Amino acid sequence: MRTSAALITLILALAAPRAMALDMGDALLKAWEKKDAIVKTTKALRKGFQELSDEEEYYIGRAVAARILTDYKTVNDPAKTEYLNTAGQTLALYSTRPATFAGYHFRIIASGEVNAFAAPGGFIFVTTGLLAHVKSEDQLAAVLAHEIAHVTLKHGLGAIKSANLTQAFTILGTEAVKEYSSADLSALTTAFEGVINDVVNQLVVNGYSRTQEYDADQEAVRIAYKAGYNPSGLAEFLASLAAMTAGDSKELGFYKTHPPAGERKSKVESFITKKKLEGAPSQARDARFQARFM
Amino acid sequence: MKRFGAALLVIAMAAALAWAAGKVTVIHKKTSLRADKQFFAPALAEIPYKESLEALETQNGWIKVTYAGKTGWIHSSAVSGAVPAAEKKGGALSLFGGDDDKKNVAQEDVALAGKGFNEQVEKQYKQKNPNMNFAAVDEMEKITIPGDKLAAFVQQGGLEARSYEN
Repeated sequence: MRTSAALITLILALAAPRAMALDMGDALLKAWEKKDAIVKTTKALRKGFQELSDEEEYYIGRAVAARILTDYKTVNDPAKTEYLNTAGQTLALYSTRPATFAGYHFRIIASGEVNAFAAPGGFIFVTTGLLAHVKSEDQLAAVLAHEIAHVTLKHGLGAIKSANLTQAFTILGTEAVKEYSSADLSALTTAFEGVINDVVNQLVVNGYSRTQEYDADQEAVRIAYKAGYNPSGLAEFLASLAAMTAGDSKELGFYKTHPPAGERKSKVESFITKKKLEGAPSQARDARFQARFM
Repeated sequence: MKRFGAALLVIAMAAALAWAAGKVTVIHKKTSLRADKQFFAPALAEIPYKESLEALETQNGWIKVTYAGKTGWIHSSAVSGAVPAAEKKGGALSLFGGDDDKKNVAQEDVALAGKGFNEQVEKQYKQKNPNMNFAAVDEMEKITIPGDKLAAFVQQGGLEARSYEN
């Protein structure tokens, strides 16, 4: 009897596979959409920065980038800029977020400070002061991967104070229209300003926590390794920074916002040893780096 | 005979399930429809923000769709929607990883309703802060390296992709 039932089902399946698949597909799709609808109605208000959409992250990142580019001038060197973006955009593909709302973009900014900033959404800045201490493409890749890691780990968004986020989410949660009323738009813009201040303060003034920097270092090693770079690039770069601090510490930017380079180097080396990550320098990469930066 | 029948039934069920992958919505400014399931594969078309697509199949974090008469693959990190979570995560992505677990319902809701921090909010912010250098940000955003240049860069630099096990 069971065999007959199975055979009938089989015959039906073979006779009309497309129709059957569509029916089953529709049923499953309806169930899935019903589940979505339930979640939507019970989730009127968003709770934390993790629930910001990629588009919102992008608009926050644009405003943060605009603040940075108001204070720092960009270096207009097409060859270096293209090289930086080619390396950076390649590395990003090996991160946990290969794409953001409008992609990753990299820019050199004119400052003697040894520093780099990653605005949410993938707007990444590297100072001329930092680049002066980078000696190879593997080291440059490590620096860029570290900044990409701050984006993928959403460290910038994590700096937003809950009061600003709650204010914004309250307005957004009650508004279902595409165009805001002027009162709501005004309140939302005030909340947006608070959000931008929080992120800029974290990036430029206070810096991330030691834990966040160490996490970004580990993620940078992973990204660089997966992309095929020598994973020791970061440790090499940090070693040269540690040596610089031992002598002259005039370039305060990096040290205002990052843990001691020596400590970071030790942790990175331990991580590489523990994970048995191997790699080697490359003459081809060194040559193209030197053609642009040395 | 029983086993043969059961096997065929499983195949029919699997086909139906694959068919039922559902609709996805592009939540990025645009995303490339690629000829194969990898970022360096040739782009067949650019799919704009909020475009809704039928997911034909999912594999390792990539979704097969048809757009403008062309069938290809888009990466799951660029979409939100009715793709089962287990499929979206894609497990260990073969070459280029992607944690797509943040594309929750709120994400789609915000995108489709046009809610949230958006162009309208930025416009208002610019009016209140006219000295902010958004022009330089617009210039920065234009810097995008085409896929074939990235592929050449990878090849010339001897960059061989490696898998990473935690």
